[in-house]
Amino acid sequence: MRAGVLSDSKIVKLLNKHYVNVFVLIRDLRELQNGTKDESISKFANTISKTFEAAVAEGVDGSVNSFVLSPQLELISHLPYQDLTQNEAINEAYLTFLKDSLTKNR
Amino acid sequence: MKRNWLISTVLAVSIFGLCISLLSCATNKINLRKTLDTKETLQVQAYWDPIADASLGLPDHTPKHAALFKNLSPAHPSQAYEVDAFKAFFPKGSVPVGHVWELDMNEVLPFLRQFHPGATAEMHINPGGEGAIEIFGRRIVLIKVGLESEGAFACLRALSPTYAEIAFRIHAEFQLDEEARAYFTPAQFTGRLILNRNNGTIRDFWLHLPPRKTNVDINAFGGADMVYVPRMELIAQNAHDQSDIVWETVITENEAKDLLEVSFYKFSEIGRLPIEAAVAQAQAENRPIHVVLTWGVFDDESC
Repeated sequence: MRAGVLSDSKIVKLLNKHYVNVFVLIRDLRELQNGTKDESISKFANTISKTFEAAVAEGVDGSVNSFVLSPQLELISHLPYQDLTQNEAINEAYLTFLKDSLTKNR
Repeated sequence: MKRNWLISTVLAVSIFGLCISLLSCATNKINLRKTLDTKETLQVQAYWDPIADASLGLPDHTPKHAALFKNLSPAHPSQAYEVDAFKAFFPKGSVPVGHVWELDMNEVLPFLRQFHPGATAEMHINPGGEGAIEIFGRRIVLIKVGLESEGAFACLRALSPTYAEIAFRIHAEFQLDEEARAYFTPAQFTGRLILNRNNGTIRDFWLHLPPRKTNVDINAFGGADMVYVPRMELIAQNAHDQSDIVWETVITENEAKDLLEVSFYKFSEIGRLPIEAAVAQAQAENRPIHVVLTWGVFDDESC
């Protein structure tokens, strides 16, 4: 993913222009949920972990997962890397995921 | 007549300005290779701590795994280098502060072989290493993804009339045993070299594995793990040359770090924020948040 979709110039440009970007480690998620008094951060962590847990319970690979949250920290979209690799044009599929998420946010 | 005089004056001032600019550019560039005193030698100490923690317990998986990973230590705890060897970290020509250049791994590897003779610039690709980890009370299988970014880059970070500091970053790995397909892949080696431009000696040399929770990827017999090594470094210091340095032209250590990171990873062009700052910015600008949740970090070779 690092050398693929996240190195695609169109994707980099779109992410920098329309999104605020965060990279989170799985092991830091639990700490974020319990270790903060900041309500926003707690909501952010809860939204991600709830979606992640449900996906993993259904057998989704946990290595790399992408999420889009609204500014109010509600889930807009979730895309496991595993699902992305089912596409022949992975970069285009990720671009579509990001564009669709922007539309849903409006 | 008056008009001609005015045009001549403007032209002369412009040319003078251009000359001053060019002269300034020229003096801000430095060819470090020409300043080394090649007769000198430098003693470099090596430190390599045992693995302190492993995400999946691979080093203890079997006695064969333990034999590969539990007794790692420097091949040469102390080694003398001719100062000429440090040219490996120097730019080929004149460069200004902030300039990044690629290093020749053939010249860098002898330093890494002080740790282990299996140091190699050709990092193996791990297309399908699988591991399991307990998260939220469930055991999940993780497939490792991502391609390694090989090589090494350096950056002239600071310059004074007497000293020059080079920051560098190296991606390499150690093949511990070919038959066992055993590799020890540090997240990165980073470091600095300070050159005394007056006497052509190396004042400081420090090459180290940044200490972080998981900073090494290990592989053996088809299995993979991410482990923590508290200390792995090469250090050399000229004890007679430790006066304070007042840099004349300088970029910050973080700026140099970012310049080196972007040289390895295109994805580093994506602006990323810590969570607190990201949430605040998203709400202030009404922009959605794009979150990438991963098992390991993306900005080095530990995953």
